[in-house]
Amino acid sequence: MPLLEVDDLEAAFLFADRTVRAVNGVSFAVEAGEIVGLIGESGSGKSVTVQSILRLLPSPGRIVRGAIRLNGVNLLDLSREQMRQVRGRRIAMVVQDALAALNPVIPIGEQIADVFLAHTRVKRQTAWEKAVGMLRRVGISAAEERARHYAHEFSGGMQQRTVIAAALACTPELIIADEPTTALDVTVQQQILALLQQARSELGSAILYISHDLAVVTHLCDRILIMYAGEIVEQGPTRTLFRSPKHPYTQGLLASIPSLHGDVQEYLPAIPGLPPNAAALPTGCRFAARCSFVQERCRSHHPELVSVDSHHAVRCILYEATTP
Amino acid sequence: MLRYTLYRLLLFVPLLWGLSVVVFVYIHLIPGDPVQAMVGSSASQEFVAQLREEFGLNRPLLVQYVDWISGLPAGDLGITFRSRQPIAPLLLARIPATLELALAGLLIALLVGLPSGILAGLFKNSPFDHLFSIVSLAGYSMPLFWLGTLLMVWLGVNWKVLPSQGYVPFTQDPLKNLQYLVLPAFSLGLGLGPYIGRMARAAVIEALQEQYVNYAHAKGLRMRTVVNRYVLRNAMISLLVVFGLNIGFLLSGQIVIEELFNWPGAGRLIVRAVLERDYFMIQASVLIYASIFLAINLLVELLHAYLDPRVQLK
Repeated sequence: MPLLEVDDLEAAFLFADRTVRAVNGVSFAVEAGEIVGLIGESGSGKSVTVQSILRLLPSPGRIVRGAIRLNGVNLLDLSREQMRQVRGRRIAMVVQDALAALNPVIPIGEQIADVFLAHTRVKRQTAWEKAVGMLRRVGISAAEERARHYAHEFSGGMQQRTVIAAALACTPELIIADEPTTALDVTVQQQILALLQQARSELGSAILYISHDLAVVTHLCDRILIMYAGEIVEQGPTRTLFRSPKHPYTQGLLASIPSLHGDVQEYLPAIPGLPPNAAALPTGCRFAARCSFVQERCRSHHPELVSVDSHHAVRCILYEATTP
Repeated sequence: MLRYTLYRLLLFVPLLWGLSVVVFVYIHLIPGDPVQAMVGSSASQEFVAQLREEFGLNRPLLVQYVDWISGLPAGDLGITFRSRQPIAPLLLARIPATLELALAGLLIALLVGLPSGILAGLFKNSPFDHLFSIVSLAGYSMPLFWLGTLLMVWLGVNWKVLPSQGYVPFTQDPLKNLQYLVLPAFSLGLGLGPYIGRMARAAVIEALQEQYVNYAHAKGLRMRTVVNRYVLRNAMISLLVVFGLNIGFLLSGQIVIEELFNWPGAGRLIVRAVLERDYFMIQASVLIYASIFLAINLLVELLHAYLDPRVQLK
């Protein structure tokens, strides 16, 4: 049984005048201790997928269909209180904008201590000491003193470390990291990625790593899911995906990563156009309008996700034909 | 924090000075002669000249200003035009009654406005929120003098449950004092309550939209913790700031209520001064009220700096 199993998830925002179908029939699994990358551009539905897993969709978002199973238990069936005990203890979150995620008027240490107080039977003083320990563990020097500081007194990297410390507090089985390095400069990015890898090796936590940047996740992830317009268009082990990307979208993404080897290209190829409007999705392939291999049938036929290899699946008409 | 406090206090001095200039100039900018205006157009020219001489109004403006302001630090606010009594003791004698009413009104306003506004904000778009919006809008739109009159007519005149006119000092008869306090305090409190309630609701809704609240839920914190430590803590800070900026509503409302209920506070003194065209009295009271306004704002700023670690001396 996988640790996390997202099964045919459909999430939508039901506005009065229109319905935005943000996530359409997404299915994937994360095994215990595995690091999975969920890649997609802004608006592809990756963040909504994550918010659905934690059942924290902002209004008027709704999970319309599907199941989200953690060790076989459907999270959608849990009571509010049961779900609260899952958040932060079994599934922890690391967010992109750490400064905005930290309460500006409560000391850093207390915000980590709050996690211990919410999930374990400890006294305030013990929770505080444990929080200081967590700060030390994520590499914040003079943690004792730093714990009394406020978020705005921390650098961007330290803010992100704080958020990771809060996430690791209760040794979660799954860490969801939603673009945790996007706001940071490159050296700090590497430190944060190293911290996450350390969490996996030391705590055995699985990580679902959300990003729009393929280059960042290559070394981190075991497996990669490519999302486009609310559905998964390709998934496979990181190496396979990089060596032989199947979907024209994945190929386009890989081509747009600047290379350190070989000739310097004068122009970096980009995928032309914009993703479709989630309130008015096309009937056929959702990538058709931007695809350079587009065929007549792509406009009317919506392709299924088909296996091209044992762990490699793609949603494209080009590969549908080859399978019986 | 100490440095910030000292800096703010230091800044308060030029602020007060500027205020005195504005108040003084304002009185002398009124078209026509203040003495003429005070005694009326029927008075003879000799009489007006004699009064100008007596009050030193024939001297250059600057001399008059220096004369006036040099008395202020010692608590000399000048003398009234009609009775020629010193103004400071007159005002001072009114302070206990004014303070009592202001605090009682504020307390009622907070008791009414805060819980209802916070609940409405936390349960935005719930039936309670809709009810709150209607009631608070009605209360908010209702002029204080009308609300006061209604309470006075129902409870004071028709049902005769409570006295509606006058004041008994607390030292003289505590029970009577409170009886007399109820109607004006509730008029002021119920008038101000919706105002505070709506500010509280807006502050709570604003805080709820912050990412740290969403993240607090993602950490699996209990609802109680999220509301107390993440939502309210932040909402109350912004409410404090907004409230400080709107303190004028309380001060002006107080004047109306004092006049309506015959409450012998400083507010009535101002109304009297305006009706009698006693420019010296107006000048002194405006200075005092504006100083109170500034002092409350100073207090709010210091409190804000104490509660919000982000506020620091640049």
